[in-house]
Amino acid sequence: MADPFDPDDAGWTAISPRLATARLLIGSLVTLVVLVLADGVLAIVVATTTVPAWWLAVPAVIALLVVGWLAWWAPRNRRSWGYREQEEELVVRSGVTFRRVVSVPYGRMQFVDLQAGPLARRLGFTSLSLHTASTRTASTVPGVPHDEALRLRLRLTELGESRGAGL
Amino acid sequence: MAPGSEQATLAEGQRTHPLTSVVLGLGWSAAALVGIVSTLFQNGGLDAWGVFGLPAAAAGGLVVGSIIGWLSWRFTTFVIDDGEARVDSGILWKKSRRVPFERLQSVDIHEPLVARVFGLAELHLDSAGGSESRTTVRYLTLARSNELRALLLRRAHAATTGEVLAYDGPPGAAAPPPFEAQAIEVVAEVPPSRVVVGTLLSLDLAGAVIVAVGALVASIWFAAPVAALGGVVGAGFWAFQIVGRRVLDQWGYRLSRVEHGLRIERGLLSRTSETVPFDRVQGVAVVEPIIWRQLGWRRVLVSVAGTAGKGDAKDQDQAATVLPIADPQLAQRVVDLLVPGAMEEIADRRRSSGASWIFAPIGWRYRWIGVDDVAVVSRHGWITRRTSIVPHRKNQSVAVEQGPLQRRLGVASVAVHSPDGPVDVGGPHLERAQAFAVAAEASRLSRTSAAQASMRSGSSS
Repeated sequence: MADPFDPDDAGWTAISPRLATARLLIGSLVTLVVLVLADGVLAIVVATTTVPAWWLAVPAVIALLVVGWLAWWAPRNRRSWGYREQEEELVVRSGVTFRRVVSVPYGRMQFVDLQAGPLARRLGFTSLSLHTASTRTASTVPGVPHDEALRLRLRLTELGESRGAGL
Repeated sequence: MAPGSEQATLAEGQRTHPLTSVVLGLGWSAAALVGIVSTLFQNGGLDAWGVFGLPAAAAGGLVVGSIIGWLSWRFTTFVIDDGEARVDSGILWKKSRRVPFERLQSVDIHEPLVARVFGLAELHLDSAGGSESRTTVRYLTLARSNELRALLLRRAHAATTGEVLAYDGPPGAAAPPPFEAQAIEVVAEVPPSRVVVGTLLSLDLAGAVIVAVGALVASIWFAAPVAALGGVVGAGFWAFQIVGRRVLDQWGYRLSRVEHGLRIERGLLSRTSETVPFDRVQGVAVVEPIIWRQLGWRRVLVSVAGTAGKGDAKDQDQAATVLPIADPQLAQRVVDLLVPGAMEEIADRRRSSGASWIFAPIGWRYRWIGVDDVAVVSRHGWITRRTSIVPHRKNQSVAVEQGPLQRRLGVASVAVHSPDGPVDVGGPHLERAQAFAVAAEASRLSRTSAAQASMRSGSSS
């Protein structure tokens, strides 16, 4: 492989762009709730004390910044994720600032988990975790399209069985 | 061996040794005694009861304790049959613990002090995973314990043959020989004097002594003798505890080779006899604290599947010790037994890049990782030097990681993942290209060795 950290390198299977949408959506929602709560408290403070009313705008500005950062971060992080099914191993890469490339031989996989919350199910993606006998493998690929995740799990289990050396 | 006869004797529930009730009774008596006496004191009852208070309490405790001890012995039975080992216990709430042979990781014999006085021992049946993975059968005579351990290990080995690789025999050999209860060969005996000297020269003890001296000097400086007393007594007690615990634990340390594994026997008051099966070894670490290094001494630790995750790092190191103190030749021999063909010193070393000095101003010079035919080896540390070895067959996965500062410096870290334990192989802050080269090499060798292993086990079964 040329440069495993290069996000534009071909040959890596990308994950669903909807992961970025979902993260942005959830992040914005949480920010909105916090904003409403903060402004609620501030409104009482403004009403009862001599604090000027423009203070109410401060949480709103912060919330805007947070959402803006999310909108920048989510697609970037999504693009950094990728995996490669090689002949004998699955290679997973992730991260923009803190980058990581893990290579897990098929024979070492103990089990493969799929996990999807309500929103992820709606948007049709699943997170897939690989488990070996070492907890440090810690490899979870978020946002794999649902059908692709099912296919990948089947393939990984099959390959794991035929190549398994176990512990 | 005659499996039929063993089965006949063990298929129905067996009681443990009758003296168990006495040993358990003593334990319960002590607890009861403490309880009764403390209530007496709290109620000021000592005056009312007068001189008879304490003896009465003692007698009461003994009676209550003995009854509980007898009952719990009476209601405990164990079964070892063709497919499983089972322990049933409980007076009112029945508890039945079943251990399938194919899950049995190791069988240890432990002789706690009180039981040892009566010539009794307990069996620990360890299976993989979980905090409840240990089943205890207490108490049996020592001879009976040895007999049962041999039987259990033979059954466990039979249950997993086909998967288990015996290093001693040629690959594809016929049925495994009957399990030998006795040692084939004594690999090492560590005399108590050596353990004492080793402990006296250890870093923990040095720390305790420095604290004691510091406290003394400080108190003289500030002219506060009471503080001196506190500091010195505290640190002295700490030092005493370090020496005492280690010396008691490792007294009469004997490492011997048995069929399919190494056996460790140790302890002065409580004696323990554990077995490390070769095929469960996940990695080996050699630890050389700075003072010991001057004398060429080192400690050998082993990482075994299923034993991790109990206690803190220090306790884990203690539990994982194969050889508490040894010279280089002996250490190398034990490493070679645990991971055949592995070398502690590798010629082809990839050192941490000089650009990474900022992460470890002194330590970066002492870090390297290397790959040979058998294992991935890495070393780090300049106060306590630790060499970790993971055989390719046990390497689970390989990662390359890079943070923002590392990216600027053009370095990256390699990590080799093995099951949790004292062994941790990694090459921090190698030059980027080298990091990828090492990772690719380790990954490739781990796959080919796994393929060979599965081919071998396929042909032997």
